Amino acid sequence: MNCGMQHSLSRRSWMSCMGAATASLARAAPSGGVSSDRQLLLVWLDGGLSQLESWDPKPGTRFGGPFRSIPSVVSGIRISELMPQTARHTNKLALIRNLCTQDNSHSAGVARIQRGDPKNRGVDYPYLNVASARWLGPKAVELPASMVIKPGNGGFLVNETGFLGPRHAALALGDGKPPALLDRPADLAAAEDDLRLSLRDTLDRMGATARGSSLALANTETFKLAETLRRRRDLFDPARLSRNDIERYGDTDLGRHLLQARGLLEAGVRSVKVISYGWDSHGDHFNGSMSLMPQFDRGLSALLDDLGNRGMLDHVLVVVLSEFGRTPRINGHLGRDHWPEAWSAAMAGAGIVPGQVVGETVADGSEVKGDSYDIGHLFHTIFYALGISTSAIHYEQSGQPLPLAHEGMYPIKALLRKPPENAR
Amino acid sequence: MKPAVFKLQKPVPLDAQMACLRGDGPNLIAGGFDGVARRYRADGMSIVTTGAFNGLTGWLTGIDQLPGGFVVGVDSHGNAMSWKGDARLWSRPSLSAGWLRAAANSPDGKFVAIAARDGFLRLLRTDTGATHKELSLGDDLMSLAWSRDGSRLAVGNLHGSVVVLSSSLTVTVKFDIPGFFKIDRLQAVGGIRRLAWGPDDATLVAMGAEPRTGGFVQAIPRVAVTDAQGKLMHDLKLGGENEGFALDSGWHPDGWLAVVTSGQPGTGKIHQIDVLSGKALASVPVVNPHGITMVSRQLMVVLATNANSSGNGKVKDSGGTYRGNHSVLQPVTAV
Repeated sequence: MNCGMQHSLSRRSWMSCMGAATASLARAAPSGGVSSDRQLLLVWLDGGLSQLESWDPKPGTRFGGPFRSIPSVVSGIRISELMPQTARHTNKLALIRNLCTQDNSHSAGVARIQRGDPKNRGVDYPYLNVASARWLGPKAVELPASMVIKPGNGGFLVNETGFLGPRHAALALGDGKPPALLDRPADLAAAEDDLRLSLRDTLDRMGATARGSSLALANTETFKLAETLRRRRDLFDPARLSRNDIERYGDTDLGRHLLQARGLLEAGVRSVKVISYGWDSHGDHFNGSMSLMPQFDRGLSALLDDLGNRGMLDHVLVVVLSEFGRTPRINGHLGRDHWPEAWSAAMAGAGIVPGQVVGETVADGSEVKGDSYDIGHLFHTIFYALGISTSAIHYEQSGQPLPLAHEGMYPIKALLRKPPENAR
Repeated sequence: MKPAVFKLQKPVPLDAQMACLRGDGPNLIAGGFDGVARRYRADGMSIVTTGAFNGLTGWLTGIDQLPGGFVVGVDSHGNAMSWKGDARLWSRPSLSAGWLRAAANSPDGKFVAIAARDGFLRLLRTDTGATHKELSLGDDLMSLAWSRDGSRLAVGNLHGSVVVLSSSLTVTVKFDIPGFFKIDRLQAVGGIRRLAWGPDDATLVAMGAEPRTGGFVQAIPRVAVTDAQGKLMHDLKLGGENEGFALDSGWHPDGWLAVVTSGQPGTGKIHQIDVLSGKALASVPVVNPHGITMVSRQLMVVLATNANSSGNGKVKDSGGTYRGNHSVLQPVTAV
């Protein structure tokens, strides 16, 4: 089922999709949820950000590539010269340079990383943004708990919900635009629309009363959401973005989407994910990096500026992640391939000790030096940073208790302001 | 003009990956990812190392030499350096804040032109390295070519434009060749990767690709022939969208252009192009080529990357070691 399909929804598929999304609108705190003011912003660079052209440069080594490293505002932390603006914000960032994960294919890696790669229990775990929203619940009364901004189509991202089910699906704004079918058709008069809405509401209530139909209730909730979203058009109308802000974030998909993410977080959306495509640079990687990285650098830098200046880093956790890094070895087409063996992620904000590097790789970047962390370690850490205790809370799935993150792994002590006892 | 018959000879593995290759007859010089300029001599079918120049720190992506032993190299860290005989002649560290893409000596040997990613075209004196002139052309400059008579200098950029200047860096013509550039998602793809003046010194040959996607970079290798005013005379597409970029070229004494194209790892070809008639006459597969130079009427040398250069994850050799790739010099005969 493609809930993101635009302008071609039959009533049946519309009802099904909308039913899937109803829980995003849940007004009550989630069952077993935690009380926290924290929010998550996940910046997902799909395809695989090169650690060597970003957080863990190795200039002058056999795999280092053509670029230099530059000093940053934190003494001793150097990052790629392709990120000069972010270099002014390393005092807000924690860099993790010793990730070692399991999959070197997109098809497995994208889901496995975002699900936290738990032990195989025969069920699909929810993605990080969905899981966070499920435990933290909606922060703003009327807005979905989880939203995604991505290039291409929007809609409800049912495939991310795993065993939580489609009712937890995040609402995606395709190209940052409002959901399709949000507006009243131009040839439908307002009075006639009101009449239709009233009739639909009556029928839904009758259906719910007579048959206990959750679909009918879902339909009602979805129309209410549409009303809210119409009122909050400022959150996702590109035309209403400030010109000055666009200039600061960069007039690119990634820049505009990061700017919109700031707005969603300010409005109280609990979990926001910004997806950027096009990072799978198997060929002509270094020329490609010169166009990709400045867009990321500019947008991330402006975002960190704004979140910092507005005091939002106290309660917003920013995570920059991909499905893997890129090979140290440079192939015959001047590209880098997929590399889960020794790569990097970055975090900032709520619950995190900033201005530090955790872990390291060997001189040429070809392996982790010392201890490595898998995505399970990062999931424990992220949940704790958000105020969600992975040792105290578990999912209930058909009577089976399931841990939030891989139970063989633990939170990373150095990253957390208030590490739990089991952190290492 | 007859189609050539290419025959690949035994390749010579090098000890590092190289970014570029230039030749003065049998005297070859290659610029390394390690900033080292390595010298070789093509002696018949054998290629022997004759020395190396050190001093640059980034990828040595632009190199040129003159008869008499003058060599200039530029790197991705913005440094330029020259050597003569076995000694360093001059050094211009941080000539640019960023990548210096290409270097070409003027035919009279007085100046070296340097194209930079910061959009600056610089003319340095070959004897001292002093800046003679510089001019901002406002784009990522990827390629350079002096006319044979030294009166004109052509510069190609990322967005598929060509600027023709006088030897004193006065712009005489500027024109776009549509199709050499594309924005795919966030990525700028393409550019004029190589320029050459035709045998008549009046036509220009712009090489690169018609990009389709970023990422893997799918692109159709392309050779566009224009007159000196930019009128498109011939537009050759040298294969499918997996065959990548036309990256380098060399003139054969019989007047045809040898062009190397490299697409997905493991692919690549040498093409024989009759520029004036706009015909591709022959080709031969070569693994991962990206540089070429003519040694003699019968012999050319291709700079390539070793086979099996790509792969996800930690690909190890039979001894369990994660190795990098290396370049090879591939002698090719053409009759």
